[in-house]
Amino acid sequence: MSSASRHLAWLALRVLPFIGLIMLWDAAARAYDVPVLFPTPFATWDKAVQLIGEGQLQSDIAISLWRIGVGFAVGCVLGTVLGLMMGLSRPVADFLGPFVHTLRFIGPIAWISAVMIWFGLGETSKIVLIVYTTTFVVLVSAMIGVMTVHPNKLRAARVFGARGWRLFLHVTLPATLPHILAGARLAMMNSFMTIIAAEMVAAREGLGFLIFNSRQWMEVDAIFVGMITLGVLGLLADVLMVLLTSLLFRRFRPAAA
Amino acid sequence: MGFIRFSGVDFHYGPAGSSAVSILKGLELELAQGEFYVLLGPSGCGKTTALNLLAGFERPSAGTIVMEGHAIGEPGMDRVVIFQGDDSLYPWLTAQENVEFPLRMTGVGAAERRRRAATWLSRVGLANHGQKFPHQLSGGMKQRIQIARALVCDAPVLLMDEPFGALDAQTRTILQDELVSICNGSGATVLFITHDIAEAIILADRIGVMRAGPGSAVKDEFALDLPRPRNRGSVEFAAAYDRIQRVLGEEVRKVVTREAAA
Amino acid sequence: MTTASRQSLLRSAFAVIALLTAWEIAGRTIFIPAVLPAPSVILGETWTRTLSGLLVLDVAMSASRILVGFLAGSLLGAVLGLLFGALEPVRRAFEPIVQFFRFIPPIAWLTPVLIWFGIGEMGKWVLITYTTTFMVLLNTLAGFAEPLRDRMRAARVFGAGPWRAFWHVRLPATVPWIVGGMRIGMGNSFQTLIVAEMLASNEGLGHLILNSRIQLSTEGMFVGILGIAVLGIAADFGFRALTRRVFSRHRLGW
Ligand SMILES: Nc1ncnc2c1ncn2[C@@H]1O[C@H](COP(=O)(O)OP(=O)(O)O)[C@@H](O)[C@H]1O
Ligand SMILES: [Mg+2]
Repeated sequence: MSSASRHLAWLALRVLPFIGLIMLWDAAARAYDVPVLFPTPFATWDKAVQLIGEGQLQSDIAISLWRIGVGFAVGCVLGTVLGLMMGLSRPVADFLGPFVHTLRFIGPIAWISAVMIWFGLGETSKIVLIVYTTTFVVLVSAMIGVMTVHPNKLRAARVFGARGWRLFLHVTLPATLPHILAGARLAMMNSFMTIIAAEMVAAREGLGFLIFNSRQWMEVDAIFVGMITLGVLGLLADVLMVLLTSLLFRRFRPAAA
Repeated sequence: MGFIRFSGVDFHYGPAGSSAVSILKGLELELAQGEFYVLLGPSGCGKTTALNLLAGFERPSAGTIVMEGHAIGEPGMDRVVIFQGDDSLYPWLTAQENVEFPLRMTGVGAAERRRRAATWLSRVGLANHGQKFPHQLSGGMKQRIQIARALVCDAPVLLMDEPFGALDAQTRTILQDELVSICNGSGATVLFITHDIAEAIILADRIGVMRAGPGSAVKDEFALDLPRPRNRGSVEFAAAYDRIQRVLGEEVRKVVTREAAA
Repeated sequence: MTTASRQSLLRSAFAVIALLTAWEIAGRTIFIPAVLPAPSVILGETWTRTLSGLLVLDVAMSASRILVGFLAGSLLGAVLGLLFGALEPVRRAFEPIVQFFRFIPPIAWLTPVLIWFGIGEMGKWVLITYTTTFMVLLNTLAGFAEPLRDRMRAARVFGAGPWRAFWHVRLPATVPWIVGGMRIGMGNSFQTLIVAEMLASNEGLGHLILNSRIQLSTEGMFVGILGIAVLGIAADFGFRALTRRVFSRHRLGW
């Protein structure tokens, strides 16, 4: 088989399932026969075009991505620092452990109400929720990363005279980085879910608001646009994370999650 | 008095004075300067433990370990270790950078570092693989990186823990011969651990056979003054093999019998 | 217990007591209960709600929703995962779709589910099933990445057909992955629960959390949060204990 036709076959294999899915969706919508409650793919497409024409979709995307970006960045730093400290120091692990292991079971969505009481209805509360979800996932990965550095890696460096800060910088940190990156990737996915929840409960813009506000007016076509946008954005963010990781951190291939 | 000396060394995990079983008990061991000493013993008897004590990774629960008249302290560049397996290599560094690592830790300048690492890489036959990462290399090549990384330090003492244990027989033979030619006349004192009698005879000036644990110590010692390189097919080789096998075989049988009963 | 682990425990206990004390003091002096109720106030609220039976109802409803959704999702995820894993063409056709839907969280499905399944229990079950299915499905598939070529060949040598080889070699090797996916899925179910109870509901811990904000009953909200945490920890503990027993031949890693 020529390489061109092999590429074509590969593409077909990726695209065909989605075409099948859209056809299935179309058939189901026609069978349901209430276009307002279950719009066809074409109606959804028209709605998307309209929303883009009005500029609303772009601005919703931008605001949601901005919130995720800020929260994710802060959460990664916070989670990495705390996770490393807990992994490196037994007393720190003992002091923070009980809280980490309890909060681990309380997802960001459980805090939605509390965060809005404490931080108001503005940007802060949404970003705080993203910080929270990111911090925990990254913290736990970093901590496990530190604790699973093979002792011989540390012993070898000690033979070569590395102690304290140098040992950390040259061995512990690079050995833990793959775990941190794997955690960050997972956290990115959680961020998308969290931001939608936050924007649904209290926001005047963003993808979550688009999805929620349309519900009040029973604009299911707009909801579908929001959902598909979310799926595409999430997928793109994930691909981008993987790509950036392999570009910037080529040496530190992420550990299997 | 020896260059390195273990006197009445006991070791058990946990704090001193605790009731844990002793892994080593009353270990006596003496290495002359420049000597190649091989420790043989059934697996699990405490060979790695003895090496860890000399490296300074663990402290004896009782007894003393002295090198050049000074008690062994923290790990350091005067006793470089080649570890069992390849976990001690840094997967985020290339082969070249792994070999440069010790020099980097001691503050050697970049140019000098690169030159010395490259020299050792080519001596262990990795001249063309310096830019590869460990995961891109075979098991034998990874062990060569470890050897180069240890030798680049110019340490007076080398501690090797079954460095060829995980390799296939052919690769092992080649690396053994290379190690003989590298160590010949280097003046380094070597403590080499293995459970392979043939390997011990190829390499050693002296061989210590350890008892089955717990509470292990050196049971018997054999001096080998055969000329090097040694011939694996020679009569002397076979005779030495036979003598050592009698002593070691008895200890291994103890372990096997105990495991079968458990 | 060794001295080291006793010292660890003491430090942890100290940290918890210190935080609770600080919280109690802050709750009584600096903040009004609507902003930060003191632990004693939350405990009192828990007690009141327990006596009135409201909390029992909330816990029972939430637990039943999670249980139904979790079991349905586990079954669906395991069956689909095994099907995808066993039949390469099926996996190739459907995996991209699964990957795409993974990024559409259950919360985005709220309205469609409301429209299609109404405001009853079914919609809530569907949402929790959706979450669980993905986790179990993806984890099961990950299990198929484990190479079992030699073990499968051995089975063939001893006369097993492809179906028997799958049943006796592949399936047992995949069990820890399925169960591992279920454990993650259960964790996610508790998040989705709150989302599901955004869907018209009058009881449940998620409802308690959301409704308390509207009623400015912050202590009620904390009861809901703590309820979810306790239920989540208990469910995880129970799940591990149970699966350890049932799958004692498999290495589950807990
Ligand atoms: N960290 C540890 N804690 C407790 N026991 C250990 C530890 N490491 C090794 N041991 C035990 O010490 C004994 C000697 O181990 P080792 O020195 O590694 O043996 P060898 O290298 O001769 O195979 C073994 O029985 C082993 O199970
Ligand atoms: Mg050993």
